[in-house]
Amino acid sequence: MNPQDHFWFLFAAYGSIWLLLALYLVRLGRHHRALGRELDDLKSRLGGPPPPRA
Amino acid sequence: MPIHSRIAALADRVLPPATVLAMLAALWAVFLYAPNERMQGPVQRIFYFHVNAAWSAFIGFAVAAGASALFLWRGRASYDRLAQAAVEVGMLFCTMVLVTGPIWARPIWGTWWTWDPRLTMTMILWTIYAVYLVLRSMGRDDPQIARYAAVLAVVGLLDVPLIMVSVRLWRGMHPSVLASREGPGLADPRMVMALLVAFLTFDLLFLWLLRLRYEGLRLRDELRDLDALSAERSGSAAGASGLSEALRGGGLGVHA
Repeated sequence: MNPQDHFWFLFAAYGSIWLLLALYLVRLGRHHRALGRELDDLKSRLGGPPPPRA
Repeated sequence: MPIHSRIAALADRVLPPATVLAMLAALWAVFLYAPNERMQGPVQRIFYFHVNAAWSAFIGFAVAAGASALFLWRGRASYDRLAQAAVEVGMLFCTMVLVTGPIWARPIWGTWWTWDPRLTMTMILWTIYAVYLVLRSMGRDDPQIARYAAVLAVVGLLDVPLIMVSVRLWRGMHPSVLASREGPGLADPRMVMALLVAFLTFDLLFLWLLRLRYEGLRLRDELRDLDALSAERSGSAAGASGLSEALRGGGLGVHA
């Protein structure tokens, strides 16, 4: 195999690492936002005002 | 403020920027500082992240096994949460290993996959902890399932030493990391340095992700307890059923 073709494999390997990491971080972010919403909901049901969001 | 809260607050402040800086340093070391390997050429650079992803996965599963053993012994929910978070983060790194390994193998071995002992044992490890995550998503509130999963996390760790000795024990194709029968695996000290920088980076990344995931699980459990308390106070579970449903059924998107 031409050594220049190896760059494609190098790109694919590091690209897949970044993709997996990005997908996991997005998933964590979605979970945390959903938990924040549920917390606000619970607080409003308990009678307190929801905390201001940044 | 209790000491563990102070440590957690410090970790939340320090870990994200430290991880980003370390990642930039690792990329510089891997792509600019370390020389090309004589036989494999540029594709050998996959090795720096591949190996360290494997180490982070092993650390994750070791943390999960330790926390699971403590959970079985003491029964504290915090140990269970730590185990669950560690398995999830460990699985992320183990998936990276199983994806990057074949990408390296294709140009070097001429095949994407072979049932080499180390590859096979790593696939078994991934499957064991995938079963753990499936178990946890199936029975989130079931203490019996939590105990079964904890036993699985402890037993699953037995595969890790087998993976580590498999190259020597069964004489597989997979190269040894630092030394091989033909001589040193990393001939140039710059390669060793790049490996060490990447090792530090992956450790920081592991800690950061573990902290984020653990905090998410802790918040989920606290919300569940508050929800139950709210339903108790109102004297009717109907008012809180929506939130309970969301917490149990994945409305929060928090699985395993």
